[in-house]
Amino acid sequence: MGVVHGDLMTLNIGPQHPSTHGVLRLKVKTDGEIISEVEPIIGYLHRCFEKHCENVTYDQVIPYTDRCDYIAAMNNNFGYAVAVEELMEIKVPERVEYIRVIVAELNRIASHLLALGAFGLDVGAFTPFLYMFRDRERILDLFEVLCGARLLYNYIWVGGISHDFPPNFDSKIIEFLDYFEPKIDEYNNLLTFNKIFIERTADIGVLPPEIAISYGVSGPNLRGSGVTWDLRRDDPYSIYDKFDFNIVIGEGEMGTVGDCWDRYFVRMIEMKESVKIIRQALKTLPSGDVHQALPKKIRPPKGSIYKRTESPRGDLAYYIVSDGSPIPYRLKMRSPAFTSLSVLEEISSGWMMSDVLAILGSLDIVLGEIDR
Amino acid sequence: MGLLENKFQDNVVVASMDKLLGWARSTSPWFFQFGLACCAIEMMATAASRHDLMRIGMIPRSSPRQADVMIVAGTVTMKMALRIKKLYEQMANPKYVIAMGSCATSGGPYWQHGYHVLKGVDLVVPVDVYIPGCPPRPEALIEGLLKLQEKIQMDRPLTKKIA
Amino acid sequence: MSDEQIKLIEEAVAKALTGDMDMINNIEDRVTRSKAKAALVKAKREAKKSPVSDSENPPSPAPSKPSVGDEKLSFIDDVVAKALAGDMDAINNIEDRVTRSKAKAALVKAKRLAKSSTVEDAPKPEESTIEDSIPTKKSFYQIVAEAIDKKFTGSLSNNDVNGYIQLNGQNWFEIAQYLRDNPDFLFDSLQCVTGYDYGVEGELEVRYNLHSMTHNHAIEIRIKTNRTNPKVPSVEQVWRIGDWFERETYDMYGIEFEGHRNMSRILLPDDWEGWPLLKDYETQETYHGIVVPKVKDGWE
Repeated sequence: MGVVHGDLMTLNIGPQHPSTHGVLRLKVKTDGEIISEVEPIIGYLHRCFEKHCENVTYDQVIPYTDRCDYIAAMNNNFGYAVAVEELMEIKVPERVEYIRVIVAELNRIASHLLALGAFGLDVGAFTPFLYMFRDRERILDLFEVLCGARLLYNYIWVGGISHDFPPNFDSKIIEFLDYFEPKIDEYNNLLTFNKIFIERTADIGVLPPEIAISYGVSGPNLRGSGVTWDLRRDDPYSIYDKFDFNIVIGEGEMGTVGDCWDRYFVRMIEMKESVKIIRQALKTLPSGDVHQALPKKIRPPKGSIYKRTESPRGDLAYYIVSDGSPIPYRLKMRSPAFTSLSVLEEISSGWMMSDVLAILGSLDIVLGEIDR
Repeated sequence: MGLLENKFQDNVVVASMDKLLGWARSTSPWFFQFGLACCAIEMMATAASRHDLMRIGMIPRSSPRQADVMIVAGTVTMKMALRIKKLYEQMANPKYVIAMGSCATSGGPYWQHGYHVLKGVDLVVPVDVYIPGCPPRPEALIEGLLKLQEKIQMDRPLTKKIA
Repeated sequence: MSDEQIKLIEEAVAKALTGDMDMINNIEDRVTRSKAKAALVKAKREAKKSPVSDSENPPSPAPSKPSVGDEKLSFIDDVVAKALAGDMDAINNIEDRVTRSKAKAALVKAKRLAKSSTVEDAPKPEESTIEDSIPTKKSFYQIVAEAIDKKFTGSLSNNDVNGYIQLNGQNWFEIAQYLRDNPDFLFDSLQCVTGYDYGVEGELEVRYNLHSMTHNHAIEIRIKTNRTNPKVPSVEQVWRIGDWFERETYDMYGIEFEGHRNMSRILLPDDWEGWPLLKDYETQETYHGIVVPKVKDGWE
């Protein structure tokens, strides 16, 4: 008895499909319910980020970095600021470094909450989404107190930050952390160890580490495959080497190492680690002037730099070429979601139609960053 | 309506059919859940726990065939513009469009050098309500939706328009 | 401005050009003073320009050659001579910042020369600085470059490996495989592929950032290509992410990657015209009947 192959059917998902996390189009070739080929078609949100960078000054680039990854805008500001500072050899005050780490980790939590909630939606769990958005709103409220914006902050500047913490802000963060930490267990009860959820995600879309590295996959997706790699520890920027935290990796608790459930669970535990970092940073937060090192004119010397930082989605890098003028000559953003999405083609063939959306959700893509 | 006054019991309302239709339609405009960029996250936040769009009768639909309102939430690019037009054409009449955020209104921050950005969604589809902001807060989106409801209420679908 | 003021400014500038700055500095009215100073700068610049344009020098002087007028050079010489005699005021009083720093540099040089001529057997200062700049231990870039040169002779564009390795594109696919598989390097991750435009007349370039997960080291490799028919060998089959990165570079710069199995646009639509990130890119007027440039009817 041989296997009967019917004709392949081409199915188009998107670009306005609710499960594609934005405007992504998937051209799927299926044999019945089994996927034989997936081709992601991107570019529906190509907003010419790099062309803009070649036309505006260094400080004006920051709002555009916000809009690239609109879910973790702080981390994108952070990476850009760190890159330009290294090019200009600016040393920022200690307090600024601490504040940057605190807000970046808060934003990492917010980003993971959205990723996990949306992943739940993709596999059919609506309620956890509401729970996670409820808590994400609290972080956005904190940011609103801090800099007035809910989503796109423009907070971390080259050489400093736009505002110092308002009075009693530390205690507000502590209050939030105290509230938030037990909630992680609530999510676990609600979604992580839910039988249906495990059935939908465990053993699905296994991403072996060699393939992940060859495809340039990074961040929680790579750690989900069992590779201990985190730029915060392996190539420490800012002051991350001062904090004590664990690197969470996927262990195949519910199935194989590197399946959708592992990628999901790594994000869940990473939020705990972020809470840990914030607590340590708040304990030793030094005082000082945050505007001390802000340069009057941002004119980096001639040269180029490639600087990587760890955004919630992985290695976010900026390649900046300066010709000595106040406008970048060339600015390329290496976005982690771009590389994560490219692996979809590789790992989704052979799975069922509904699994593709689970795999896509577990990769946590942001289209703004993929298309730039 | 002097003739009809006080002729009925309390639970009878007298109104013109036109007004009634407008009132009924305005309180349940289902919107086409269609996120493009940053504004889509704020649209999601509006629909989620805290702001709860359903209390003003807005229910997200995933298909243009079932929706009355299309919220264009985010930057429209050239590649996307033709699709937006197609989606708009698929919606059933009467249909309304909300341009949410400065990108959909005018191209926003991508106005000057964005070679691939559509400078306002009104270049391809007619827009009823513009919501400024980058991105607009959920409160702003709700205000925009309420303004749209006002507009729908003023519609007189049965009245013959004199050309 | 009244005639009086103009006269005052002219007088002050004339005096300043002869070296007497007091008159300008003593002008009481702040606005007039700043105007006088501006006029002085202008006058100085014109003085600086004229000897250059008069002489046989080409319009664009070589960067190594100081483009300072003869008057200024002799002035600097004077000042340095004074400073060597112990009168530092002469240097510190120079108004023009550039001239001042030049004079100071000349002074340092002169002092060093004087020192080396007096102390016998001392190494010449120029030599010692060069020695300092070359580290005794080979840099990682040099090790990689030498390994590439040994295995694939003639594929290095130049031996100056300061922060990057310049290849000429020959054998790039094999070199990439070698770099990935050699146990000393193990560059198993292609971090980034960046297109680069040297300007409207210049060449194009592709820059690769490689990184090794095992050894945790990174290098940058650059390959130049011409502008009229840009072609670079593809490494898509060495690192799988090269597939999308190269398509993106093709999309933005029109650089074709030879051997890529699906060389097509990735971000822009297939029927888009032109390569947007080239420095001489001009936006197309319409796309399927939709106006592309920023001007809308009734705006501006």
